[in-house]
Amino acid sequence: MKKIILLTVLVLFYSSVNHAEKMHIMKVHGAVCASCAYGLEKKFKKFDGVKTFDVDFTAGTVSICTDENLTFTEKELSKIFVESGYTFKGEEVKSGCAESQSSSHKKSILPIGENVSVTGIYNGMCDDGEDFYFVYKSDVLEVMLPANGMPKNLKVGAPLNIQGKVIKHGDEIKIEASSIKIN
Amino acid sequence: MLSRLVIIENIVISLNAFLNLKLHSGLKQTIIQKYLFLVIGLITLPASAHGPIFSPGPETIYKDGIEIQLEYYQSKTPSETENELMLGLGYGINQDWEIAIELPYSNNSADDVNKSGLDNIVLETKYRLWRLNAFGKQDSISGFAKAIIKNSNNQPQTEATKNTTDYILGLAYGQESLIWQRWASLSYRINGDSDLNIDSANEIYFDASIGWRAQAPQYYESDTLWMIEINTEYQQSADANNTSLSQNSITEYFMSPGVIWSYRNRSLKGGIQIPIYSDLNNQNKSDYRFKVALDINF
Repeated sequence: MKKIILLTVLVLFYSSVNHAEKMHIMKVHGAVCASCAYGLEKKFKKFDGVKTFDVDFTAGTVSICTDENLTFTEKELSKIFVESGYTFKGEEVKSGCAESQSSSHKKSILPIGENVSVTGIYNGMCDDGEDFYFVYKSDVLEVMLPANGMPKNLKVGAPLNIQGKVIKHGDEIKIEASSIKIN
Repeated sequence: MLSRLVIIENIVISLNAFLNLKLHSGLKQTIIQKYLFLVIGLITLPASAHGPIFSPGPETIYKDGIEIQLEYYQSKTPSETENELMLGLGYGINQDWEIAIELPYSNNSADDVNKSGLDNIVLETKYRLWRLNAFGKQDSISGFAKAIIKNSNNQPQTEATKNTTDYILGLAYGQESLIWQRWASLSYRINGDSDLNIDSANEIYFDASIGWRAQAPQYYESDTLWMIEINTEYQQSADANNTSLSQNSITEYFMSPGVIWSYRNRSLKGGIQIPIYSDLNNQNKSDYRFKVALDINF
């Protein structure tokens, strides 16, 4: 039985989208380990304007954030993937990088094992429970905490400050909250 | 490797028995010196960044990729110990074709004699013959060849038997997925022949491995892959003057647990080979073989 609070992050992580960038999300077949996918990173980072590189092995995608004026032809992409030992299966391009970055790259922002302080807006609640975790996904932070851990007079839209330790829990990075306050 | 040192004694004994030779002790010593390296051990097969530890895998590095490996290997029998530090360099000519060189420096001790020096240099090429990329999975088969250029300066029991070269030819299959990995390989080692009418014994290796990780890897997080290998080694009988020295054939099976820890282009892997079955014709069986390797790709 868990309570889950969804917080829209305003301050800490992705408060704005940089529209001078674009995200290339490429589907790849054959990518199964990081050490072999390093060849892709090496080849993509030779291009001027490539800012970030990431592979989501579970989704079978390679995501790179580039300057808005950088484009790849299908021939270029096929060559890069073939020379890295993989099969290129298509590209999707989105304006802006912040919301499109894969989960593994965003998870690296939270340092596992360290104490952090996160500020956000309370966005909603469901269920209740015993765990006392703080989770973020995409641009939404998700909190699970005991029923008695909820701040009193909490309303949707209230600004919250949550302090706690970053831990890894299953496939997700969470914050084990030590305090939750309404700012 | 040193577990094979004692085989030469059997060869000499067999020569006496089969050919009824009355060897002068000096000549006997010469034979020992000359042939020791025809039957000494296994080359420590290179451990690639994400393949099995004690056996070859089908993986090749990406085009223009450079692989640098520093490996420590220890082999121990009741009477002999080998410690080897190996520098390996690999280059991806293209995504399917890799060349590599191994430069080992070893220390060998047996019977209170200890020697160190450059060990056998290995030149290797591997070509990916077939690859099937699928969502979260890759199957592939590679063929590989090695030339083992012998250098016996560091062996405690003999003088050098130089300018002989052994060759290994083989096939490796692998199926890698996000959680499970499977590999198998078959290799044939052609040991260089001597100049004393002894056709050295060739060797056959068969290996099968399974790897497992608890969860799918993430690019910016470390990845731990656990694996278990079964390594089998069979050495054929040597021939002397076209007569088979049948009692010199060797069979050994190993079970080899290991682990690979990797983060992006860096990996650290280690494992131990534990003998589980031996038919060595009364020779010393291996106590264990241990390997740990640091591997970086550029």
